[in-house]
Amino acid sequence: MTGSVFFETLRRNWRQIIYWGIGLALYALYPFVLLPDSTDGLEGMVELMEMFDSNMLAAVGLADVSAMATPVGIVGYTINFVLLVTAVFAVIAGLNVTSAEEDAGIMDVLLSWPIPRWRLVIEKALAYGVMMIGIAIFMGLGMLIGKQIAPIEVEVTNGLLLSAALSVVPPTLVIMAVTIVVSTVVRRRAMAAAVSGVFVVASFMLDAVANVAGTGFAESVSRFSIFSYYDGFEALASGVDVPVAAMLISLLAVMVAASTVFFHRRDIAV
Amino acid sequence: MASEHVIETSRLTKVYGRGDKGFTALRDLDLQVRRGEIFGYLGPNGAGKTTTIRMLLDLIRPTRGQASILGLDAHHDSLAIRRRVGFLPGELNLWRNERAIDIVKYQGKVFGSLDMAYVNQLAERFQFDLTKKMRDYSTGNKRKLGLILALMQRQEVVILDEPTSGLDPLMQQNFNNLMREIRDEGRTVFLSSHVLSEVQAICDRVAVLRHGELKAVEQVEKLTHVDFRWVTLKFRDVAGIQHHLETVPGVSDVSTINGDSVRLKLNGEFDPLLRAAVDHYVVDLRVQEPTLEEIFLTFYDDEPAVVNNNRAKEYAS
Repeated sequence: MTGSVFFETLRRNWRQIIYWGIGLALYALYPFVLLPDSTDGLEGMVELMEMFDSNMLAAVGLADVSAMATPVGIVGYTINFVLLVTAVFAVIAGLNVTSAEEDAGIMDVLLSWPIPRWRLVIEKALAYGVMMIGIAIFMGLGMLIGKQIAPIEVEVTNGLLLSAALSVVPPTLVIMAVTIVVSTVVRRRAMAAAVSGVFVVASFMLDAVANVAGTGFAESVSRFSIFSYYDGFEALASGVDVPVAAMLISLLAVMVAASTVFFHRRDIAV
Repeated sequence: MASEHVIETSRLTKVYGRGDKGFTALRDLDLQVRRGEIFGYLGPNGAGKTTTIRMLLDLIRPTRGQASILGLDAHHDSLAIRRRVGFLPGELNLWRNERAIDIVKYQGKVFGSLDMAYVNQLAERFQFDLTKKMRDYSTGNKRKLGLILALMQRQEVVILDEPTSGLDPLMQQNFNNLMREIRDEGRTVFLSSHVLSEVQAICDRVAVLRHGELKAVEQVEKLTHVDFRWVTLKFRDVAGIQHHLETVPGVSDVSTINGDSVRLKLNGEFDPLLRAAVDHYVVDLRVQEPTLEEIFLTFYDDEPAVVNNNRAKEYAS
């Protein structure tokens, strides 16, 4: 019956939304708590940072240290790294779409029931997409709470805070889609996890190197990194970048569609 | 392909790998299973039984040839077939952290129907507790759940891969009775096994598979009435008789056991053997029909020693 896999996936994993959500909410909350209680403190922090090598700062996403002179800058810088955390969720979710059950030998039972292979992939991917949105909402709530309890006024609207949290959903789901594609091609979970892990790390490194180089070529190459599509500073300043989000969701749809074709064509591993 | 048979394959072949490294798991299988029969699919591990079943359910694709169930193509009409076929895999793996009842409900949701009364009836019959998590069940209990999942939708065809492995004798008896009931309802059971007694007990027909090739398809009764039997003659004085009996037409595999008996394999009629033995004082004469295992192993020309060794052990005990 249509939707059965989707709802079953959600039923089995709803606790994951809470666990991951609370984790990310705390992650999003902590920069607010650590904010100094005056602008003097912020300026002191910038002066301290300026003592470090500029290339090193650029590699960790601080090409412009002056951005840290505001509370919003500090929060933006911190949530810049949230994609590195959600990438872990994305890889696990991607593996759970086909690899986990295939590797555990469960797929023979599941596919002996009247479920088309394409539906299995799509319904599970949709369920994990919904879960990711739930987790991002938790993260947004963490930032809303942080804004309330911060020792200094954080000049950003609640809407922008929620948008910044939701902005992490499309790139996270692209990482999940990459894992799904790999899983449907290589079959084995360990191999799929390794390839997806390499993709995430290489993507992060590519983004870091491009930030250091800062040239036109490096910037062009960095567009191949999924990490270049999530910028905490930008997200807090202008909310969800709709064209980028649309592009990533289109890419996600193409990859999931491709994975249904790969999965349909091949033998199920024993 | 004609649909008069419930399961039908034509030159069904599966080769794993390519080129020189390719391994033919199943070669040119032509098989027909009739409606309303319990069909045994017999062969040792690696003979190609599971490969056949996985192709029937479209889990793997044939290298060549075709298969159909209920007149529907195994690949193109796979979804319709899976709606009408219950399946138990040889190696049953399910979600470790899920309760059996939740897995049953999940299957019910996928099929769009769940008859809990029938599920409970099956569970009661197999003395199975549906409330535990999978990780807490023994191998035998997992098998019981697999059988419940395979049977709970009351499909027209049931395909079971090594169904009784891990079941205790009482449950095997329950299983045998259940299979007969399914047959009596006009449904079809396709049952793979390497447990010959299981096949002998419940199957109407049996196919024997060896190294990916179909060696025979026969009625079980016909297989058990092959033209040889084991004869044991106990003599008052056995000296020199073994050599004498070896010359009798139809007699082979002659051996002396326990110092007073001669065991031999007799093909054909008894008369030549009785005439040869009449000059000696015969204390006892026992005749034993070959078991299905022995008949089965006669298809394995390179493994007759197994038969003889098993038989020798049996007599020695």
